[in-house]
Amino acid sequence: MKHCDLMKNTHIERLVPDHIKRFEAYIPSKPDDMLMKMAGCSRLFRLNNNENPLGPPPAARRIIEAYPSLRASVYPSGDAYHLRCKLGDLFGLHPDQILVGNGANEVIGFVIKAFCQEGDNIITADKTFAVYEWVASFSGFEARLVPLKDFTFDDEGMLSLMDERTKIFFVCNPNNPTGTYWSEERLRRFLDRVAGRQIVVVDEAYCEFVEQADFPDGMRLIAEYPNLVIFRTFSKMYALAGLRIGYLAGNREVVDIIRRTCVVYSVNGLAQEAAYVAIEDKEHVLATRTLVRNAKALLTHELDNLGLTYVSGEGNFLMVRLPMSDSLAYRKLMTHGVMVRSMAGFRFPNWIRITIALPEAMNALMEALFEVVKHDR
Amino acid sequence: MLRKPDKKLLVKIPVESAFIPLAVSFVELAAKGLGLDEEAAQELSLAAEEVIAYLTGIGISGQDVVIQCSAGSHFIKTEFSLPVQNIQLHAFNMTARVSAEDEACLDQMGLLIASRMTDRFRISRPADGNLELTLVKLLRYPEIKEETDIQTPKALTNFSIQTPDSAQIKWFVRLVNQFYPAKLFPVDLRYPGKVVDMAAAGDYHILLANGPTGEIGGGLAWKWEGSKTIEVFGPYIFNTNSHPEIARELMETCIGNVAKTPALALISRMPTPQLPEGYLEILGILNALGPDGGAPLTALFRLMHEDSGSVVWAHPDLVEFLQSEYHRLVFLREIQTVLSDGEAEEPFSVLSAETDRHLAVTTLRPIWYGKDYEKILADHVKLLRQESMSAIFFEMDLGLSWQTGFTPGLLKLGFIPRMIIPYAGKADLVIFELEGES
Repeated sequence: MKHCDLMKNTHIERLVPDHIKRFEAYIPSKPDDMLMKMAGCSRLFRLNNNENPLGPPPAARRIIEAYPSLRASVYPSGDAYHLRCKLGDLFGLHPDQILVGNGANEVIGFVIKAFCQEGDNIITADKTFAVYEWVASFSGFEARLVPLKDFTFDDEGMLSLMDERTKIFFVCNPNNPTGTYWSEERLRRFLDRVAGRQIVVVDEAYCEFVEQADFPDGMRLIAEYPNLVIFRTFSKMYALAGLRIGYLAGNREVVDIIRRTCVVYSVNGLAQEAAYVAIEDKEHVLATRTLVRNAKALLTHELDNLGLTYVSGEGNFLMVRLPMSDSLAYRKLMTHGVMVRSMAGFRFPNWIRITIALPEAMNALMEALFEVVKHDR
Repeated sequence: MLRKPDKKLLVKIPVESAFIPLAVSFVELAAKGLGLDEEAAQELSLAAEEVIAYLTGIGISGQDVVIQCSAGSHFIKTEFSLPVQNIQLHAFNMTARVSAEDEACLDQMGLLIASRMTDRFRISRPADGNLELTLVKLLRYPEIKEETDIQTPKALTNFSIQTPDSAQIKWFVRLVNQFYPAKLFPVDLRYPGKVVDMAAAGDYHILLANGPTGEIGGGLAWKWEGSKTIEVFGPYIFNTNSHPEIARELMETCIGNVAKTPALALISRMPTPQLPEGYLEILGILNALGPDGGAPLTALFRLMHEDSGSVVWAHPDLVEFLQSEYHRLVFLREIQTVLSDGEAEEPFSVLSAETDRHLAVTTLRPIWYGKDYEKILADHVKLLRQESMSAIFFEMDLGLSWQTGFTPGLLKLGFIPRMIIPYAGKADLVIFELEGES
C-alpha cells in the first residue's frame, strides 16, 4: 500500500496531537562523506558539535579497542550499576542518587516526564541549549523563555515568570553557546529564592572545562538543596559523544521519582565501561583545558585582527558575530572544508559558534574565515 | 456579522446536475453564515455552480464531491475535493472546455468563469490523489483614509521591541502608509482592519519599536508564504533620527521568533532602505510590476537552517542557469539531468493555475506531464493574456524529476528562469517569469 493511501485510509492525521503538528523535527547534518561531496571539498573539519579533539582518555581508548565482540550479544547493566557506584564514590553520593542515560539529552526527557503534566510549564533561557525547550514543547508543555541578560541567564527574569504551574527551571551552567556562568553565590541565591518549590536543573555539560574559582560544584550543593538536579555528560570533556552516555544526580527522593520514567537498558555496555575509566583521568582534563586555553588565545587574537566581535566564555567553544548571514557564512565555510554551527537556530542571527580544536583545524578555520569575511563578501 | 474563523462546514453530494441547486444553496448559506456579505456570497455560490456544472459536463458521474466552506481571518474559502482518475485529469486545465467543438466559446470554460467570480482560484492535486479546486473570496474592509496627515513621530533614543495590540497595529499601519511608498508594503496594509484580523489569527506577525511612553518609532511584519517560507515586510522606521539600532533589533527579534518554527527560509520582496546590512542575501529579481506599477522586485532571503546540500533534477537546458545561481548563492547541490530516453509518455498534460485577480498575477504549477505540454502551456498563456494578467509565473519543483520536462517548452514560449527559492517544494523551486508581460 502506498504511503498516501495509508494516510488516507487510516486518517493518521487525526491521531496526531496538535502540539506535534506544530512541531518541526530536528534534522541532524549529513555524514561527512555526503557533506564533502556536496561542498566539493577533500577534507572536512567539524567544528560544530563541541567535541573534544584529543579523543577519549587513554584508559577509555583501551577499553574501546579491546572490547570483545561477543559482548555485543549480551545485555548491558540495565541501570549502569558499576558506573553509578563509581560516580557515587567520586561525588560523595549514594549510587541511587544517580541515573545514567543515553546521553544527557535522554535524562532531560526523564525529568520533564517525571514532573510535568498537562498545563504545566518549564522556564529556561531563550538562547541556550535547545533540547530543554524542544522536549517540553513536543511533550505538550509550555516552555517559558527568558531573554539572556548580557549573554547570561537572567535569574530575576526567570523568577518573574514562575507561577504555580511551573515545575522545572533549566539553567545551563556554563551556558552553551555563550560560555557565561552563574557563580556559586548567584546559584545559591537563585536556589534560595526558589525555596524548594520547583525542580532546578543545572546542566553542567561543560563544567569540566571551567577553571574559575567561583564556579559552583553542583554535586556538592545537592545535600543542601533537595530540589536541585545536576546534569553531566561524557560527550564533551571525556570525548565519548559517539557512545552516548550522560547522567543526572540529585536528592535520593527526587531521583526515585525520576527513575519511574527512566528507560532502562538504554545505555550500552561499552559506553558504561569506557565512562567508568574515563572519569578518573585528571590528566586528560588538564591537557584538554590547556589545549582549549591556548587555542582560544590564538583564535581570539586572530578575530581581533579581523575586527570581529566574539563572546569567549567558559567551555571548548566561542561565538563570533559576522557581518553577514550566519547561514551564508556556514555555506561558504563548508566550501573551504570547515563546518561550524550557525546560530540563527539559537536565536543569535549572524553569529557562528566555533568548537576549539587542534592547530590544523584552527588554522584551516582562520584561513577560511579570512577568505569569507575579507574576500568572499 | 461576527466572523467564525476556523469553522468548517461540509457536504458530500453526488456529481449530478440534480444536486447543483443543493451545492449552490450550501455554498451561499455557509458563506453568509461564516461572515461573507450578501453580494460576495452570491458570487461565490455562482462560482460553485459553474464548478459543479463543469464536473457534470465532463462526465465525472457516479462519484461524490466533498464541498467544504471555511473562514480564514480575512477570507471565505470553498474547496471541492473529489477522486479523479489520471485519465480524467486533462479536463482540469483552466483552458479545457466541456465540448471540443466549442474552441472559440469561453462560455463553456466553466473553471475560467468560476475563477473570474472569485479573488483567488486554485487547482491542486495533493498527495492523497484527490483533485482539489479552491475558490476564495476576500472579506471587504474599508481602505485607509489618507486625508489626515500624521505628524512625523519624534525620534526615539530609547526603545523596546513589543508585540502590539489592535489599536497600535492600526496606528502602525497608518504610519506605514504615510511614510512609505506603496511598493514597499503589502497591499493588505491598505486595510487596517484586515491587518488587525490577520494578526489576531496569527496570519500576520507584527513587532513594534516603542518609546518609553508608548510612541511607535518603527515596526516590522511577517507572514507565512506556504508552509516553509516566511515573508518579511520592513523594517519601517518613521523618523530617520531615531536610534540606529531599531532596525537591527526588529530584524533580530523577527529572526529569533521564527528560529524554532518549520520555516526553512525567510524572504523579503519589498526591502526598505532601513533593512540592516548583512541579514539577507539577494535571491533574484522579478520584472513583474510592483503594486504601484513601478520597478522590478528584488527578492532577498536568508536560510533559517544549515544547508547541508541536496540533489536536484534538471533538464539540460536549465543546467547553466542552475549552476550559475547555485554558485552565486553558494548552495550545495548535485544537479542530475533528466532527458527522455524514448520511454512511453502520457498523452496529455495538466497545469494548475492560481490566479490573483487583485494583483493580476497567475502562477502555473505542473500537475501532470504529457506529450501535449507545449500546446497546454501556450493555451494557458494565451488565455491568461486575454484575462489581462500582468504577470505569469511558472513554478518548477526540482525535487520532482518529471517536472523538468516542461523546460524546453517554457523557454520557447518566452519564460525566463528568474530565481531559485531554496527548499520551497520537495526540493528547490525555480520561478520562471513570462518575459514581456510587464
